[in-house]
Amino acid sequence: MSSSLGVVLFPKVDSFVTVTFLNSKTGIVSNTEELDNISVKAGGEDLKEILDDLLDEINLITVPTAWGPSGTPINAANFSAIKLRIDKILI
Amino acid sequence: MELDKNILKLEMRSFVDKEFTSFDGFPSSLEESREAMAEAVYQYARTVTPVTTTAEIAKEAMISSLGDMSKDNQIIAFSQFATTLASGMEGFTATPPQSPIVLDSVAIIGLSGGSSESCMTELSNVVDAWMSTGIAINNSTGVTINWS
Repeated sequence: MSSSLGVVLFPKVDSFVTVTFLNSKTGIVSNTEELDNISVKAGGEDLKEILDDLLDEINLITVPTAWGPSGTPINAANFSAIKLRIDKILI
Repeated sequence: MELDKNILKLEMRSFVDKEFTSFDGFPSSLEESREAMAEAVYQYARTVTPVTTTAEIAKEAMISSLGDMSKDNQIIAFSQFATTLASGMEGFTATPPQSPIVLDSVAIIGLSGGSSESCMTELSNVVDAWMSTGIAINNSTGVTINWS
């Protein structure tokens, strides 16, 4: 039994997990020692995609100034770095 | 030789207007902003009549006064620029513009969502009108002229 919907945890390879058997053939991972990634998909949306879109939009922010529209954020590189950190957790 | 407000507009747009074909990029620091603005005003005013010998010094005076680039500091910087410019008008008794420059109309355009081009058009008009209130009396003839 598997699914890519909801909250799906991906245990780190060779880490310990607790498997709870529902019957003689089917078990679920009910606890994990260490995770590689998490996938969160619900309501037709993907949390990673939402965060990526949010950070992309932040990097495009301009605001009205006394001299016309501003440039994009001067710390845009920091937001791009945050995207890379999110990539390590969410898939 | 005369003041050319179109030069001021183009020079300013080169660092504030990303839609401008000759846009060089936004300044990345306050220091670069001060330098870019002072350079724009210098390029505009260096051909003023009467001829001045202190345009470059006026540019440096402007850089020194711009500080954090706030509106108040810009007003002071324009005053410093004009005062220094006047001091180099040899053969004339020059008086810089007496009233502080009023930049509010530029900010109103920008803060209400106007384009950078619109802002710089207004800024160049405001600066040019203000600079034209400077006067110079010819020490030989006694004739008074406005800066142009």
